[in-house]
Amino acid sequence: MNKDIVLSFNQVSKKFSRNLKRSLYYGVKDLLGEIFLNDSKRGELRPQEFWALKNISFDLKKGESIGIVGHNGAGKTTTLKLINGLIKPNTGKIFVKGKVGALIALGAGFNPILTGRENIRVAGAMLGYTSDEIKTKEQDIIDFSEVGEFIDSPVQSYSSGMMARLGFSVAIHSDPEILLVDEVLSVGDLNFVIKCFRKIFEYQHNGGAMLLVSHNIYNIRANCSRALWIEKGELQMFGPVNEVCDAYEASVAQQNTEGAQGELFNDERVHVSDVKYPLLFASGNDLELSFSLNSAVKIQKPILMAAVFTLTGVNIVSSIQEMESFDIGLHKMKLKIPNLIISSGSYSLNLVIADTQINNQLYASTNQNKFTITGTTNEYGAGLLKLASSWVHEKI
Amino acid sequence: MTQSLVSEAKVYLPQSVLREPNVFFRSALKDLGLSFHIAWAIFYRDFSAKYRQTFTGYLSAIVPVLITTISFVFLQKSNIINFSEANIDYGSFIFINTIFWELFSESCLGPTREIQNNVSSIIRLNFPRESIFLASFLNVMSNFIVKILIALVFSYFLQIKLSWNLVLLIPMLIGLLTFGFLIGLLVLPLSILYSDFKLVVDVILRLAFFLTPITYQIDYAKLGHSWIPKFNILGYYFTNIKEIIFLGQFPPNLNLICLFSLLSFSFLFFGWILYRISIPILIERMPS
Repeated sequence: MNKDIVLSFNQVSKKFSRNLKRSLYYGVKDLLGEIFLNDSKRGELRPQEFWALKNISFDLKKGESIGIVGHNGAGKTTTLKLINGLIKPNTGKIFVKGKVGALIALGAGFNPILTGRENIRVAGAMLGYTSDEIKTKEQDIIDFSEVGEFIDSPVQSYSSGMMARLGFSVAIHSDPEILLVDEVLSVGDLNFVIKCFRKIFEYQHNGGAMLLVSHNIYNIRANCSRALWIEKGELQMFGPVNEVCDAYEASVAQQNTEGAQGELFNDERVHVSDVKYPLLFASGNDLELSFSLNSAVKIQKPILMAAVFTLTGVNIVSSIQEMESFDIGLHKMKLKIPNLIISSGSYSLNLVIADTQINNQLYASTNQNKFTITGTTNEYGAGLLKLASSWVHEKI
Repeated sequence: MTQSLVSEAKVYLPQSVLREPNVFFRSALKDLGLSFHIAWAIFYRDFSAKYRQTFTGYLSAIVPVLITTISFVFLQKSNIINFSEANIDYGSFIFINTIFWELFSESCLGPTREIQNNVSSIIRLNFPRESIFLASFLNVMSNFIVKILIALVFSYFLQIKLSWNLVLLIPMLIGLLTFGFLIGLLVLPLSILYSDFKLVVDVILRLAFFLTPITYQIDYAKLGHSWIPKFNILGYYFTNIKEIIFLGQFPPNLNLICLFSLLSFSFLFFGWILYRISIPILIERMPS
């Protein structure tokens, strides 16, 4: 085995039971199996069991960072638990070389009645600090956490952000050789999150290896060189971070497009048909929409609105215009939004036709007209809008 | 885990850990060695938190003992319980016996309780699991020491005969602790998995309280064919405790106690193996 490899997963599988009572019963059986060396059927599923992970293989080298992506329940946390030695695999082999540090539950083991300083000693001991290390690093931990004078107050008086900051600070100062990070950096204010990533970068720069689990693909792209995509316990893809993240995002976009439910309000005075727009296009292209409107009455002051929304309801851009009156009969409508430079993902083009006021709606469609924007490989800028911008350098 | 473990390779395999006994026992001993300062930290946390949130401080440890004592003294004064030992005050007898009984019952329940108190850490952090067991031992011992110190402060009123004979309580103490922790380790996996199993253990302990001469005394010479007192090893412990503390005498069944304590201590080793094997299986089934 390559001597730089600090973690290796070789055909690892892990099964769980869907049913609590079965799970408890299997727990007793597994325990007896361990004692009496009756472990031959560990690779087979028993009734009501499923594979939380199935034949997963990857390795992590010294100084390397791997991101793990996948939907909820894909098996990401199970992977981290197996690496951390908390649970045993059912098949395969896991090789771990070096001290594993887990940024998994910040503040796990904190007693609310004790002060922050006292909790540092307990959490530090659990994280592998020796008594001397706790004494030496205590001040650094307190300084990094920015808890300040609250350090001698009971942690029950801390905000959740303060608690997470102290937890992160204790965990990151334990000098692990492999760092497991599971979605913990969603807690705390932006300044602290930036500070945490700076600390993680410092850790990576000093040769530390990291496994990062996050739903924030930007964080994965920014901090990892390779990525592992797991879906329903099975390995979908393992490779360079941008390739895996692009494929994962495309899959998420497709699922969102297929899955999200839309709503339609249509007054009997108008009939909208033949709605046309591109279902898939690259960021930066023009978005063109056209539809036919058959009006049964004369609309005095029509208002047309088209708005691009994320499928979770965030309005990215909208185009609203008051028109001259529409006579009775068939009308052809066309809209062009030039250079739509938004981040890759799934969106909806919501359409409203109103009379006189925007709330006096004759027609409104929400999440009906879905489309997908692709192609931001090798970019890890955050945010939904991708503005064409450039820096200018000038020596003073 | 300390710096000594840095760069140490670990291999996790699906097969039973007992298939490679050398690896298993080496890592168990290493973890045991690393556990002491973690156990101390956990114990310090629990002990500080426990008394910090009380009005009466350390005296609160004695409250359950006092309530038990008052209840049984009331029953005795009402002639419901007949206590015929003229040389011993019944209240003192109950008070001391309850302290020792709590030592035993806390030993039985301690490991399970400690695991449950530390679930949030156990399911997320990998630290030597022996530290939880040792912390539970320290917690049980500290509770006992606080109570027994209070009893010694009031030794005059409790009619305790202060003499070198009290040293003989040490084998009793070790015996009750090892036997209690042996039971505690053996019932731990099922108690964590099934809440009703924990309840059963609790009920059995209550039953044992009444089957053991804690609130009454037994004359073993006049037992006849009553097999429960004969085979209830706890009875011999409590009879000895009474002899040492209140009568200042050499305990009559010291050899039996020492032999049983030695047996318990040996079996404690198997309890440790069971504990170590069961933790990953239990973690899988703990709520996250």
